[in-house]
Amino acid sequence: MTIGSKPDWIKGIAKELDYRWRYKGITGILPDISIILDESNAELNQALAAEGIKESSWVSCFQCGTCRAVCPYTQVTTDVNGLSARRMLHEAQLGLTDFESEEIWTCTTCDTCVDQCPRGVEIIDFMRNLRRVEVELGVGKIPDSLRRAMTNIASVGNPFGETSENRGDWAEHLPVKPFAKGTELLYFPGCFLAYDARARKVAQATAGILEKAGVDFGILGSQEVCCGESVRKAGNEKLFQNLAQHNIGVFAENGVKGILTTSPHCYHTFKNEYPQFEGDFEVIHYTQYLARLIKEGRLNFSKELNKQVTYHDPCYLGRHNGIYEEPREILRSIPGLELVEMPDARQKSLCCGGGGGGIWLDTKKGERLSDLRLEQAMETGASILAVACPYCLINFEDSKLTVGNADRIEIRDIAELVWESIQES
Amino acid sequence: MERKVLILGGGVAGMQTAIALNDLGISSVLVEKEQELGGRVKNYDKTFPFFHSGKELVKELEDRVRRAHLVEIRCGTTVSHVEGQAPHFQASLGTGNYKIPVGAIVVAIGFEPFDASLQEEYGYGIYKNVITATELEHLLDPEGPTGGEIRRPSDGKIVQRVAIAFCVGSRNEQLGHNYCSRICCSFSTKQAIEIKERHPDAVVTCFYIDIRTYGRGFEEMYRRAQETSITYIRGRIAECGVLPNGDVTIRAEDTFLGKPIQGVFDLVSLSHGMTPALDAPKIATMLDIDVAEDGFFECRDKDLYPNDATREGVFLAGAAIGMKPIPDCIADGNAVAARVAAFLAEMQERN
Repeated sequence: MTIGSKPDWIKGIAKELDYRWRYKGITGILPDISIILDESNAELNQALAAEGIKESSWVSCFQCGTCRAVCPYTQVTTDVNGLSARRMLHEAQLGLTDFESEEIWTCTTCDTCVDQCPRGVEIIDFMRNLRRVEVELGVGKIPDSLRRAMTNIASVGNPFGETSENRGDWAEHLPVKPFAKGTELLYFPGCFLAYDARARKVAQATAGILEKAGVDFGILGSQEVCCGESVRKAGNEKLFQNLAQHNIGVFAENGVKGILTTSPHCYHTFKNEYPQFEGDFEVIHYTQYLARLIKEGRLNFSKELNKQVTYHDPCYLGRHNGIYEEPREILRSIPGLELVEMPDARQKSLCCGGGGGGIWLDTKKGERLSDLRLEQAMETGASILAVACPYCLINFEDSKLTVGNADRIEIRDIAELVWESIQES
Repeated sequence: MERKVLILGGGVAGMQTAIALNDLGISSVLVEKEQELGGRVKNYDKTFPFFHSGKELVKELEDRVRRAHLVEIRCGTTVSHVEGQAPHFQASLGTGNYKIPVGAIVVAIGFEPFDASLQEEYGYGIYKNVITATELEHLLDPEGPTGGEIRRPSDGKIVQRVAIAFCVGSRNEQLGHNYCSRICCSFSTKQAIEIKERHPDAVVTCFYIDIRTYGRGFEEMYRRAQETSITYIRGRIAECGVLPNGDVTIRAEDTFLGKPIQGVFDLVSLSHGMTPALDAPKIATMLDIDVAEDGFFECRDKDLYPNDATREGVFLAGAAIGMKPIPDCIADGNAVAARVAAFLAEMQERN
């Protein structure tokens, strides 16, 4: 991260205009609560434009308030002034953005507002660029936990600060081979699955399924680094590009053609953002792949599950990438599994709070989206909440510890459920 | 019965009425008090929402009207007196010497822009750099006084910061004009776009209560304005002040942020609304037709007879019955011609 000196126009934001002495002779005393419209109201826009940021869709906001109405954050906060996309857009247009405010970091980039905006404003892009101003120009305050995660990713390629040599250790004692030229599929588990104790089980289950289905796959372990998706959303464009270029180089060197991911975030960036840096691979999310294996009859479900399961659509699989049916097809194929839907399913899925860097923030208790979503899951009567994203997994496991009566629900990744059912009993 | 129609007003609506009547084989006398035909639109460089030339439009209409065999054009004169009942009216032009028998009368006398000096808090007429939208229109005209550059009156400086105040003189209880003038949001947006086109570095800020750019092509124009980086602040300019160097200060509330806001601009343009034509009361009396509370002419039935006045044989077209965009004035001309034709045919049958 570069922390440079503040450019002149930053000093101009919200500065007091020195016209008071003239006003006093004409209209009387200026109240301090007034906003002063002066030169800076154009400068923020110009500065952002100079960064090559496409501003035109932001200016077409006509303040209808739909973004605020659908934003999941409004369901967990008591602050009436908190996180209002339309207000922040308006402030930015007038050069009045408060870069000290926490709300710049609150957005989880869940895409609900973008999905509904009648003007097609790229709100997530806007939030990302406000964060870029903070990260690149050193204004405001990046939350400590986020800063730590980014520093770790920059130095050792994962947010935990674990040594990069251990990135493939989760696969020890498993029939998982290193990827080599000619291997059909690269399995990219991502940082959480590689290092987090709970999430590792998902990687292990996934590897087991692929092996049982006879898929030719391999992993790159310590050669790879974080995909960078969350880092980019948190405004660290330079770090993201470094990560992307590193990964693309490694993939290309090893002749990678197809990439299988567990995290929808890795999926999203490999599929939609890496091509910008000439990283063109066939990217597939594991739910798409498993659904395909099931259709081809390559998975043999031998054990009945006999549980009621509800499925949470991850923001980055559902709204961002339109994948809603395959996870459900998989769940419905598991014998004895009864699928029940939560309210706010599919496109209306309630964000767990992990995206946009949220996974690394210390969200105040009572303001956690995953608490609310877990309660919704419990209300369906299901005994299992199925997920397809490591952020959702971690957030819901966390919520289980704080939400009342949460013992009666288990959090399981779809891979874990499939793995359980294809074991010989 | 005389199958001839008297048309008061040679603007867009009046001219189109004459043309449409001509096409129906009905003769008319087009009376215009100015020396030239064309009303207000003849002075507009660009119209909204498609940025077509107002001057070209008027030229085209005038051309058609002059080529129409059944239209007698009388400029620089007014109707002073009308006697009789439909369809046997007797109209006197000018000093009263020229009398014409007519079967029906069409009122297309247009409107008067609101006199912005009546809204004293804006300082129009006192502060040099507070101008009206009509004056801004002249500045935007490439054939106008500044060749199309927006230079402010006090010192000729090219504008860098412009504020446009919406709803001046309309929607205002204090001034006795509660109605909305319908087209001001549209022409204001058009002007904002034009200013940015002439001076891309200028900051143009529109202060509004609502954005009423409705209808086909209008919303699209509004969006275009936004994409041209024109700032829209929801909050009416409450007052203007002036600084020693001629800069205009404004006070408003930014209702989105819930905070009072102050600004300094090189030029403030007041988007004035419309009031009824100055001659409207006189003509109402002369023709014995009703005028509504807001000063515009009353029609026989607001739903079914929007182009009929309250007296048989008298019809209404154009801005005289309320502000409307140009295509609507053209439509009025056609509608009135149809109504007149039907009326005259009915009268013919009765005889």
